[in-house]
Amino acid sequence: MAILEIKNVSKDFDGVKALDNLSFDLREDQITALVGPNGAGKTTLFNVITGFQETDSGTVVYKSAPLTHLAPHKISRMGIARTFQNIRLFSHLTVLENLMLARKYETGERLSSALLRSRKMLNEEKINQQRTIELLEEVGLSHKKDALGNELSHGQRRLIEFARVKAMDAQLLLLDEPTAGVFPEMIAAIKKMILNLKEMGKTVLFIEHDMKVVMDIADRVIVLNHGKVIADGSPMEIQNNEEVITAYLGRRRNNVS
Amino acid sequence: MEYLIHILVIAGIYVILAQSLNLILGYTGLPALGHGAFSCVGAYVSALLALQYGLTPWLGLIFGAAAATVLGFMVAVPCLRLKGDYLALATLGFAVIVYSIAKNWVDVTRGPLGLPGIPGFSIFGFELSSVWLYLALVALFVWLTTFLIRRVVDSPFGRILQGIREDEIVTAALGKDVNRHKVIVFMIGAFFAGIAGSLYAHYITFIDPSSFTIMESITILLMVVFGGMGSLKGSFVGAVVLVVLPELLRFLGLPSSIAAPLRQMIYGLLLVVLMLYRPQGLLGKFKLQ
Ligand SMILES: Nc1ncnc2c1ncn2[C@@H]1O[C@H](COP(=O)(O)OP(=O)(O)O)[C@@H](O)[C@H]1O
Ligand SMILES: [Mg+2]
Repeated sequence: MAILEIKNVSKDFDGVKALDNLSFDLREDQITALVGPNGAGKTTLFNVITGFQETDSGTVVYKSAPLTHLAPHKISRMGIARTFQNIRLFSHLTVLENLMLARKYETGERLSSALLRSRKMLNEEKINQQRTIELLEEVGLSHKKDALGNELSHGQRRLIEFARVKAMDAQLLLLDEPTAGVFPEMIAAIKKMILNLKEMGKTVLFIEHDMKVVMDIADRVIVLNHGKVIADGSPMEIQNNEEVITAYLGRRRNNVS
Repeated sequence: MEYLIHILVIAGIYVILAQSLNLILGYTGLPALGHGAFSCVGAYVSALLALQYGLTPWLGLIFGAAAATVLGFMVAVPCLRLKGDYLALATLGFAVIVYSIAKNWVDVTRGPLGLPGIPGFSIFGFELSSVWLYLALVALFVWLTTFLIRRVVDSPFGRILQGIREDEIVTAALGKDVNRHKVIVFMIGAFFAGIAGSLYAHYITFIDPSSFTIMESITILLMVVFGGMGSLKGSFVGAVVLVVLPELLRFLGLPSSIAAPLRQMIYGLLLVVLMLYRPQGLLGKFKLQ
């Protein structure tokens, strides 16, 4: 069954068609890689799905509910979590606080709970703290729980961001270049974590430039260029696709000029 | 001695103002520059209720704070679309509007003539005429403000506020309603500023628009920045130091015609030195953006 449907979505920036009548469905419990040259519209698609940018036309449907005009926090609460290409941790909050903010509270986040120090709030806080520390242990950074967001190395920041998106307990995870700029050993660890998300029954859509990573873990690859899907299939199929190769070679030529 | 106590009462009122502004500015990261507008409304509502309808200041204080809270809502909602410098300017604009209303709505506020003879607080029919008792009253409210704002910031709710300060986009992506929290925080800040305004009106027994100029808002801002954004202790220290420091001039024997303008110059100088050498303030952890 499709968990996410992108239906004829277009998004224009001053004449640049970032998304051009784009359509595809995401199947549940799969890892899908979204690839394509820089400027292909990958991040824009994430922004549109998560409500940070309105579409010019077309709709995004999540679990049969259209997301049009919904505020980002509502979309997030429906079970769609995302990371950011440029890792955005809260700089002056501790690692623990960074993750705690990703947790859902029933009543504990209300102003009244804060003023009354309700028992419910303290309980929720304790439970979430435990869960958060587990997540930190999973990425091997529990010793960093009291460090500030801006005191971490790039690789550590990637891992914390991964733990944070996991802390949201979302059903659909959108990861924007989760392995960008990290060491090979850490890439291996992140690959394992993404596969683990699938085992947990999550659906993953991730943007990736490292084809090796894509080939290793993706069930399906969608190739975007100029806001359009130019190829869609298994990693094997994509590897030998003419158009894909041209798009990438085209990019390389552009980069040189 | 009485004079010293008087200074402490004034300092206490500023502590309430600085801490409530810190909630908006330091914890939530919203550059609201018109905090004096909220205390203005608190002061006038409370004073007018006492003068016109003989309402006890205790209730006046509550109504004043409530009116300020409503103004906080009215300021916050249109400001939701603004960020950074634009938000700062818009809130300043609101403060100018409130000031002009106090000055020009002569039928109600008596304009520049001000409102004299505002009754003081009384307990069981005994007016708190002694400045000592008034200090105790203000201290109680300072404690209450600190206690409540501390509870607000040290909670999951307060963590959301800090998330908004750090990165609104991510906070929204994590499922938090950023706009709602901004409005609430403006209302809480305005509420306490309203209390401070009411305490001031019934203590001095006279208010006029000159107590609520932009300079007044800037002074509160300076206290927060001086003490350190995101630190309630810092706001306490900042308010006390900035109230007491200029008073020392008087002890040097300067006439008030010189001391008053000198006070503003000291504030200005302090601000410049602070920005140069300790932009995060005395007890703060991060800088003004
Ligand atoms: N906020 C924006 N304003 C203007 N142009 C934008 C904006 N976001 C993206 N674009 C443009 O849209 C196109 C797609 O960008 P993006 O989605 O970031 O690509 P990708 O993530 O695939 O590298 C690019 O041409 C980019 O310059
Ligand atoms: Mg991108």
